[in-house]
Amino acid sequence: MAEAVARRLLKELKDYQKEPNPDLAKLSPISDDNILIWNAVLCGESDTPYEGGHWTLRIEIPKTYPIHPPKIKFLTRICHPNISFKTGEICLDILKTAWSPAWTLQSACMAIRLLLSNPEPTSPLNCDAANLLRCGDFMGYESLVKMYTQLYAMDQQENETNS
Amino acid sequence: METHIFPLLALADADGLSYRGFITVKGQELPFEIQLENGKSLRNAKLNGSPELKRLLFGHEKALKQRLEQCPSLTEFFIDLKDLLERIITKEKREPMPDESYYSKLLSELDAVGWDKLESLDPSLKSLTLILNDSSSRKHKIYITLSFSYPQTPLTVHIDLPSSASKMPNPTINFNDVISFYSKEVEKFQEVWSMLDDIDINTWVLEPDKPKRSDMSRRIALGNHCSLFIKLDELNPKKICDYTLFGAESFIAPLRINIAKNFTNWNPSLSIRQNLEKILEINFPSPEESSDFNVACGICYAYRLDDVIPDQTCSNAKCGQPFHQVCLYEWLRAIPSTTQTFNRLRGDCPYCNDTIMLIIK
Repeated sequence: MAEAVARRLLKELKDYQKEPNPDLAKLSPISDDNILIWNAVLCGESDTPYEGGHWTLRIEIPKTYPIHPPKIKFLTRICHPNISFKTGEICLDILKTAWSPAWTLQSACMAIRLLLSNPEPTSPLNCDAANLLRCGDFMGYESLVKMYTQLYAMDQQENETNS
Repeated sequence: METHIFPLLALADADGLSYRGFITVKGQELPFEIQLENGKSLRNAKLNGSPELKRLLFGHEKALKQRLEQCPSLTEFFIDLKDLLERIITKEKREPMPDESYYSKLLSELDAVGWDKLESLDPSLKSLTLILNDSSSRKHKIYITLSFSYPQTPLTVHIDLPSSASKMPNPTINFNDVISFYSKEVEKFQEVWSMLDDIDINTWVLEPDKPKRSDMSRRIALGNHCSLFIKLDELNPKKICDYTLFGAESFIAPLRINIAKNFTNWNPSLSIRQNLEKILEINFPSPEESSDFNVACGICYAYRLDDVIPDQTCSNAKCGQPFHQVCLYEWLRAIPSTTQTFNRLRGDCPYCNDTIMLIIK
C-alpha cells in the first residue's frame, strides 16, 4: 500500500508541475527522501485583508492516504477565526470528517485558501478574531487581519524564521 | 597507495596514474594493470589483465564498475577486487564444468536443427531459445534448458501454449524431436489465435497487458469506463464464448438487452469480434480514439495496482468513476456511513456521494 501512496503523490506532484497554480506559489515534498511531508505556499486572495500575503503550509501525509486526509497546518502566523494563532491548526471539515479521496493536496490547499475569505465564526480556533466578526465589527476584524498579514506574511524572510 | 598490502603491484609511471604487477588470489598470481584518468579519479579507470583474469571477471562488469565508483582510494579498490576474485574462484570450484560430450552434442544438435532456428543462447551454454514458425507465420519461442549431465539426461522444454496442449510424451535429447512435436501441436490452435489476433489488432484490450499465446481471455474496452470480458474455447473458438460485462449499470443494461435480443443471430462463419459487435450492436473503440478517457482508479490514481485493473465503477451515469476493488474496499471501510449486509458493502462514492455498492470477494 505504501508504494501506492507514493505513486499517487508523484502523480499529484506532476499534475501541479504541469499546470502551476498562480494562487499556490509552491507545492512540493520538502526533501527527496521523504515524500510524506510537503510544503505549500498560499497566496492571499486579492480584495481581501489577506491580499499580498504568503503563508507556508506544512502537509503531513498519512501512510493510508488518500483514504485518510493529510494533516495540514500553517507554519506562518495567520489571523483567522478557524485557524489557531499559536499552532497553525486548521478547522476545516474536508480535512476531518468530510474528506474523500476525490480531494487532492492541491485542491485541499485551495479549499484552505477559500476558507480565508469565508470564515466560520461559530466554530472558532481563534476566539479574538471570531468575536470581532460575531459582534459585527467588520472594520476592526479587517484591520486586525491586515496588520497580522503585514507583520508576518509579507516579508519572505520573516516567513522562514517562523517556519 | 599502501604498498605493503599488495607488494607485487608497482607504480608504472611518474605521474602516479598507472600501476602494474600481480594480484594474488588463492595462491594464483594474476597479471594486472590499472590506468587512472587525470585527477586520479577511479571512475573511468582502465583495467587490463591476463586472459585468465578477464575470464574470471566476465559477467561481473557491473559489480566492478560499481566498486570503481564507490571506492574512495585505490587500496580499497584492490582489496575489493581481491575479495571479488576470491568469491568468483570459490564459486567456480563448486560448479564443475560439463565434459566435452556436452558441448559436442549441443553443437551437433544445433547443426541438425539449423542455426537459423536459434534465437538466443545463454553465455553459460546451459539454456537456449529456439524459434518455431507455424503455418500462419506466427513465431513461437521454445525454451530449452540443458542439465549438467546432458546428453545422458533429457532436455527440459518449455513453450507458451494453451492449457489443452499436450506435453511431449517421451523425454528427448534431440532438438529436432522437440521442433517436430510442437510444430504439430501449435497447428491445433491456429483458429483461436487468428480470432484473438483479430481482437488484439482491432479493439482496445485492457487485459492481459501483453497477451501471451496461452491467454485465452481478453477484457475489451467499450468506452464510458465499461468493458467486456470474454474467454474463448481454445479448441472450439467459433462457438459462443463466455462473457461478462463490467461497468456502470446504466451503460451495461442496454447492452444486456441487445445480447438477449440478438443471441440467436450468432453466426459461426464470422469472427468472434464481428459476432460480438453484431450482437452488442456497437463498434469496439480502437486504442487511438479512446486513449484520452480516464481509466485510472479514482483513489490510487494508478491503472494497474499489483496487476489488477480498476473493475468497480460508480453506477451514477454522470460519475462512472472507476476504482480498484481493494481501493474502494479500503475507502468504504474507513467511512462511518457505510453499511454491510452479508458480503455487500454500501457506502458513498468518493466522487459524487451517490450510493456505491461493493461485493466483498
